[in-house]
Amino acid sequence: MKRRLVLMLTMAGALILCGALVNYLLNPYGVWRTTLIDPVFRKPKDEHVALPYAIRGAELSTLLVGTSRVVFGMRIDGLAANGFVNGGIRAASLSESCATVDAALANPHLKRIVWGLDFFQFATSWDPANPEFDRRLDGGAGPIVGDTLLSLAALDNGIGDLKRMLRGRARLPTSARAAVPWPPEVICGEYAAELGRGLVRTPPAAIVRQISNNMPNYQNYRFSESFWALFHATIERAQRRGVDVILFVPPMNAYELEVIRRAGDWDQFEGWKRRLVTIGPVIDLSGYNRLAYLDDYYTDVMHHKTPIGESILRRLLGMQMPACYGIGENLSAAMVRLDSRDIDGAIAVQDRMMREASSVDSRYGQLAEAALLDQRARVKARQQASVIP
Amino acid sequence: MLFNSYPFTFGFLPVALIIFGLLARSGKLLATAWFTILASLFFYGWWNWHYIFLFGFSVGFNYLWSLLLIPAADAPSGERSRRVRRILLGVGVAVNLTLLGYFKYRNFLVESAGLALGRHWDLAPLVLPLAVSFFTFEQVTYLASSYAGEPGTGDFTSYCMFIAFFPHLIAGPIVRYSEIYPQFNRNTRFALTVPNLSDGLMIFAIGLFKKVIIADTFRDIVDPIFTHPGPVIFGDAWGAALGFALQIYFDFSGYSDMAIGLARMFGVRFPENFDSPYKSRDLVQFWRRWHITLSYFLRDYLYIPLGGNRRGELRHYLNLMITMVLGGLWHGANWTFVVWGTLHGLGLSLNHARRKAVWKVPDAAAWATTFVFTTIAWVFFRASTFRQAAFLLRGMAGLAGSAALAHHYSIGAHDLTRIAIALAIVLFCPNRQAIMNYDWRNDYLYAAAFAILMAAATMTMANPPPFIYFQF
Repeated sequence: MKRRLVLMLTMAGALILCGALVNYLLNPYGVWRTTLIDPVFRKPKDEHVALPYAIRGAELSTLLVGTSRVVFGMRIDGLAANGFVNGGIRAASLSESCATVDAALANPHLKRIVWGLDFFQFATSWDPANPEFDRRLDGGAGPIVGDTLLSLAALDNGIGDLKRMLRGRARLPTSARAAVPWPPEVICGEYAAELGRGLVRTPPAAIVRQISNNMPNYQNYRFSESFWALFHATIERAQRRGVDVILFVPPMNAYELEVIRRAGDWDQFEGWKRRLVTIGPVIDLSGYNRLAYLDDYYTDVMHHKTPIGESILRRLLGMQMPACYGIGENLSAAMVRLDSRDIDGAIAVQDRMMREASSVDSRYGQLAEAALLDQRARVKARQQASVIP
Repeated sequence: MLFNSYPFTFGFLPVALIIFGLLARSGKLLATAWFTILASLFFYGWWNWHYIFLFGFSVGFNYLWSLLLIPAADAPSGERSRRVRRILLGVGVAVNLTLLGYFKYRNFLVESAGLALGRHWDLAPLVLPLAVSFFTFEQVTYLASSYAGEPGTGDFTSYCMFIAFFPHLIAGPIVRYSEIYPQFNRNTRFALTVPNLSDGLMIFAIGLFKKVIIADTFRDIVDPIFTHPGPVIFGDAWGAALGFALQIYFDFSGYSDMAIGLARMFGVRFPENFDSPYKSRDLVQFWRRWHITLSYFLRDYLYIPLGGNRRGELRHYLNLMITMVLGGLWHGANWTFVVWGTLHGLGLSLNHARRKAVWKVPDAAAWATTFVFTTIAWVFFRASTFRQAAFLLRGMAGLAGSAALAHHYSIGAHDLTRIAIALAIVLFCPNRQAIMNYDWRNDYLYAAAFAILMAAATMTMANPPPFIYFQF
């Protein structure tokens, strides 16, 4: 019996240690110094786990911040590559984005922040709490051990990385091997591969479902002054630290713009842009510009494709735009630099484009209206469901 | 501190075991007992130390009250004395139930009264003290034991050990004083023994595995669908209902296994709480296999005092209904729990009627009926409103309504596979008791099984969710 107990404890301890050792060696989140697997093969599945560790890395010089539009639109498979870290978080709350920036400011290598701003993040209702993420950002041995050593999820991620490594660099997708931002030829190649896929091929019923299920509910939008204050303070901290902050509003498809307009939030949307320019210049790609109608630029109603995001990143960083498929031309035509001096003029132009768009009965408006009806029914059902009993 | 957390598994437990073992080895019985009590209070206060005051009040009151109930050896055993003690017992039980009622049912009763009267009263939300439902029931059993003059009643140290002993403090099993006192009294020779440790660790590891590897994975399926504020399509509705049936089984039986395993490490044997309930072929069997200690508590302290089955058939069914409705309400202050209890009361009554009618049902049909019935009843248990439950039930009946409004994307092939595997484990694999009763001659095999269970669980519990029964 004594031998059994000793064996039990020894084998359990050995197995747990083995798991931790394998995690340490595979190092899927880049927390440890082990280099068994080249970072190019990393592909963390959950940014909430991997991001807090990626922003502490020595290679961070540019942090991309935002929601899923940044996660997918400026995708970096391993989260970090040649000094860039994708700090986007799916459905990020503003406090999550600000906490990410704050944690990154502690990294002395950080030079630049590229922040993709979303109108819905400033809504009072958009505040999904994630205490685990906050604990990870705070640091401490507990989360690190739990996330990176004693974790089956990390082991699963690490084994995935190992498999990719064994298959070899040549089998990696171009997007994983390319520098960030992607060179023009990679953008053109990837865009060609994606041509005719995504939103452009999505049937109307699925579009209604996407809007209704996946798009934030813009109805009863209320701007949050406390989120604004948090955002403002975070930008000030970054600027005081000497970090260059580039703010931009990602492109929005006409479906989303129609939802905002029909929900009665257009004035607030413009008011939000007016508030943004009080902080500094903002590159605005949203509005009823030509990007809003280029469905081939989007994977779904919310997200532009990665080649488009990479092109935007190149433009934001002052680099040459791709010349293929009119991407550079379309982006240049749509992109507006908003600042406090000419904000009224810019908003007036956007207003005019909105009125022109709203004067015609388009499929964008029809499907947005159907989705809004669906969302209203859901809200009503939720209210009824909350009545006791 | 959760059983399924690193601070407990790798901090509190080994330290408590080592100190307990050292004190026990030195032969200091009282010190060993009081160390265990203090460690249990530390464990309880880890969540919120304010709870200790309420717990302390409950312990102090019930101990002092129990002294009034114990029949004195030299007192005349006349009818009058017994009547007085009986009244005192009633008062003691009432005080305990009032305490429970205040914290658990005050807002529910006021809101229900308001609904009935068309009025609305604003009440501040009350924080339900952790484990109050469980330790209240155990206090009631202790008062009953004192009234019956069972051995050891009146021994303060043993009483504190009985109530506070951390493995069962939060969510049971609901033990009787008579089960614990012989194992934990002033004459007990406490010891850490190798067989107890190896068995206890194995039982704990099985429970931990059930909780973190099986039960917790169902949250992804169950939570979004049960909180969806609209219709749910057929597949999702059945997926969520089955998912919850499996989640709550693995969660609570996992917890019970952990509690039993922990107690065993300290040399204490707790009664079994689960015995493969989903293999039951009728509801009578089900309630003899599901949360067994609660079933026995309700039987002995409610159903039998109501008259049980001794006062005619109609009264028998009425007693069953009352017991199950109150049992349902014990789980939570919501009418959905009342419906859950009522459904089980009706089901049990039908079962008893069928048994009397000697109406034979093929085993497979009996099993399927029982399983489907309990799964449907779980919908009321999990849903927080009737509307939510109605959405699920309509979905399960294939009446989801407008497809555009319905929840339609949660359950995929991966989820169905998980449900099928968990169901297969429930139905075809030996349960924990059978595993422990197996003649494990090969130490290496036993140790390897433990190591795999423990390692898999340890590497999945970085951010542990609490047990479902902790909310009760």
